[in-house]
Amino acid sequence: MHDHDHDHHDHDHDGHHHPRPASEQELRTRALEAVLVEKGIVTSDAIDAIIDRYVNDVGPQNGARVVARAWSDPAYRDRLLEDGTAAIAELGFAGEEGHTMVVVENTPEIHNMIVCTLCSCYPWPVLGLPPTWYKSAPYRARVVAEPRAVLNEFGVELPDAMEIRVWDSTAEVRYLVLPMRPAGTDGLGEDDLAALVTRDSMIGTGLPLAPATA
Amino acid sequence: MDGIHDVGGMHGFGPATWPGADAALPNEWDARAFALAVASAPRSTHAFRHTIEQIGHARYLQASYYEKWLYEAEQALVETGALTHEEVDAWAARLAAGEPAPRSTDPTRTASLLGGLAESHPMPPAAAPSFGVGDRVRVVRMRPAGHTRCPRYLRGATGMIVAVRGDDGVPDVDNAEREAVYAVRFRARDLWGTDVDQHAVLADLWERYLEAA
Repeated sequence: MHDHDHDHHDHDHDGHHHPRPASEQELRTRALEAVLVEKGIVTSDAIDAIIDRYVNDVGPQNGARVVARAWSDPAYRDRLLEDGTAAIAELGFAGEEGHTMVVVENTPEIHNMIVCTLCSCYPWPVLGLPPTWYKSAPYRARVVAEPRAVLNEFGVELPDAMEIRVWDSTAEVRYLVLPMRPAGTDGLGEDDLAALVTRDSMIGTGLPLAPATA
Repeated sequence: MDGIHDVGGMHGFGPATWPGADAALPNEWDARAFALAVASAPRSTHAFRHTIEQIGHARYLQASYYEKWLYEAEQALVETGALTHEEVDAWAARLAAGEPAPRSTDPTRTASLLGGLAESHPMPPAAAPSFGVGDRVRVVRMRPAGHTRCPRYLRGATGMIVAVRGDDGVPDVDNAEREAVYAVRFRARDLWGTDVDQHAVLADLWERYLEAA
């Protein structure tokens, strides 16, 4: 987009951004890759491998393993809250955009939410790449000022007495919400528990699924 | 810089989510732009963010997320002398004319790159923090022309240190100095003058952003 002044987007009546068929950006992306490959700055297989990693291997399924372990193993939960980076690494999850991890626990009194008002900081090793709404202006602008209105738009209503804590990822710490274990899950093993853990429940814009709806 | 990226507390952006907003990589080229930026990144994360902050307000709001990354990736490579915009223009024309894109492989280098992406380097403990847990602090007033990670909506507000996160490179000087980073808790009414949601906002702030309150 460096030397083009076209409006790349159409806006509907709500002001949402809908990318046009992205021929221009797609062509620029392919051209940049061609230059980098030609100059030996990157290799094509590296680009393929990075995409494969963040599309297939790294995503909220990792965070769900962490949460399910914490729900099942009180000693693991304690380690997770004490040193998130080390406890998450126990399950094999580490790396870029997750160098220093802090896990914040939801309780009957406290509900945690994660945001990055300045850009799009997000805990890649446990949640993968952020959804579009997380890195867009409305969520980033509003959740620090009116978290309950934002929660309602995600279909979540919390008791008035519950304290909401909104964590703005302004430095290099990355956050993961440890949601409350749903009722009626006493007999479930870690695999079944992990299936109840949604991505949004680990951002704080959602709650885990109830066992009957899983 | 006090740019359009610093949106905390602003009105007028509309609903927080909408149909289709759940996708992380809406288009195939988004994934390639993402991977190109990750694989080529010649500068620090701070420089990466600062380049995106300088895109310009109207463009920043209209551009899709990975359009900004694509812009940053090319801009960073041009500014560090690795390539020129004209070289990219030339390849765009060749590709548009139907020429196949070059391909290359280097399994050893790729394995090393992927290994690096999977490694964590946690912040070391703070060597000499000036504040401790429970201290009351005020965020200093500022209007920096360069990059900063001190959001506007926190400046001038008083809060309490709830954790000393460790030492980290200071974004405002692109890691030329390191200092303590603190988690600071603010009451909503101290930020917005009202507390309808009875919530707290917590942010991680470098020591130079804070003064004793």
